[in-house]
Amino acid sequence: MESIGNAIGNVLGPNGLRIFTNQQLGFTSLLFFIFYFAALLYMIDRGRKGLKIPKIRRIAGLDAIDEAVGRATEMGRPVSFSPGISGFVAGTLAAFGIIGHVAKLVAKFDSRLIVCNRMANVYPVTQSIVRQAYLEAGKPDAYRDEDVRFLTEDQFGYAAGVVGIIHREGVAAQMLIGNFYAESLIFAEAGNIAGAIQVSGTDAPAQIPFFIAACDYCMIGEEIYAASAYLTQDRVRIGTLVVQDWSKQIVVALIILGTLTASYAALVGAPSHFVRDILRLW
Amino acid sequence: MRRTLPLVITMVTGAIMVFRDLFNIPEVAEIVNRYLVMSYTLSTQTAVAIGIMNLFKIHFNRISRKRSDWQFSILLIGSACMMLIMGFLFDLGHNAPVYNWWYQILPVQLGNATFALICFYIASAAYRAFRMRSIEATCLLLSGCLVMLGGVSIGNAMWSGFPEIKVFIMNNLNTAAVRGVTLGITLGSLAQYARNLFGIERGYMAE
Repeated sequence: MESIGNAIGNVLGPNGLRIFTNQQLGFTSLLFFIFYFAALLYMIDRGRKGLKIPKIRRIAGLDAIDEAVGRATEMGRPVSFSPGISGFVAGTLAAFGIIGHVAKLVAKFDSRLIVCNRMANVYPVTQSIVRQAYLEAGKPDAYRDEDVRFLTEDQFGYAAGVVGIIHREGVAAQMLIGNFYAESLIFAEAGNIAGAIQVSGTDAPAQIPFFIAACDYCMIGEEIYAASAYLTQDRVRIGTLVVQDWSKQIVVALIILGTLTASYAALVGAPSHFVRDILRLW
Repeated sequence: MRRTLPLVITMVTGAIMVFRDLFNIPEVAEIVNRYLVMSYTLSTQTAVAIGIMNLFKIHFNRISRKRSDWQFSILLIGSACMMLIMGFLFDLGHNAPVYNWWYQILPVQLGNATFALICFYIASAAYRAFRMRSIEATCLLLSGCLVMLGGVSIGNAMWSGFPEIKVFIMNNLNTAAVRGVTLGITLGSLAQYARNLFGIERGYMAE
């Protein structure tokens, strides 16, 4: 069987569908991208019109935030928050949604929140989020500028700074949500030694085991992206999570189909197989 | 205006970046790399200045109010000023040999020392994670032991099958789980970026 990719490539000339760039994204990627954004717009529209949107399942890590802040308030000790060590990546953007919620709770309970930033460009954003949260909670005077800190852009300098703050301030609750690297276990173990209740979540696959082993609650991978939808229960945001699930189902179906066709191709000794040809349309 | 302008900037710059990454147009890529990336660098450096001011403010406060361990704040401000002055003073800036020497003997070594702490923390975290409290924890303990034995030479000396078991666990069971998580993260991050691009999620604007 002639490969479908080659057949379409022959029709479209020597460059075929290679309209893509250095990242070697294929035509399939564009199709997927178009589907993804079309579905996203459809669900946003549904959410805005008040049509039926599926409910979001419980996420233990996000439910635990209230418990952690409550415990810190009872103990009269601060809550610490680290939005990860990266700039404006998806994990950090997700952390922004959670910082606002935590800051509002902290302001409501008259507790104290310390936010430690590694990236200088993230620092002004977290600062304004926390300030706004105190304002919305009706306690603008309780906001202290020095509690939202920029430490250093050096990875382990930042790690050492956070560990020092955890021990010196005696934090009772620690939130580690964002994109972390090797310092994740240093933070989590320092929090554990200080006896803090720890809620963590990261989109760095290599760091998830460390957080699971060392923290009380851990949000695994994509769960942190659902945080703002979960906390606000905003129908439009929940709609975007549905698209995420649809895409996942398509990819899983392709994986199963690919496995079956690849096995069949190997069995009959064919050089190529259907799903790979489809995915290689570029 | 205060609310609309950041949203418009986010949408326009985001759309330009998506266009650059999807389509193979070198002229667009060059313009984007030259101007957008440069403006990002510029805004980041401005943020660094704001961050350093915050750092100095906190530590000057600590010194003036004689809070606990205020002496360390003097050390921090002194070291930061020293590196800053050296960067301006020497012709090659941060590439000057003297600057590099100080950088290599202080921040790099202190960073290495902090990184080295991880081995102790791995041991203490593993001790808690590997306790046989449930069937899942027992499976984790067994697979962890097999991977560890397969990864060290004493394991190979005990039985030559350990490295093969390790490779099987890492290549099949571990990779399958990690790819599942990675798949979710990739699709989730796409949705996260899209929410920011469309202005549905405005956490970065403190909303």
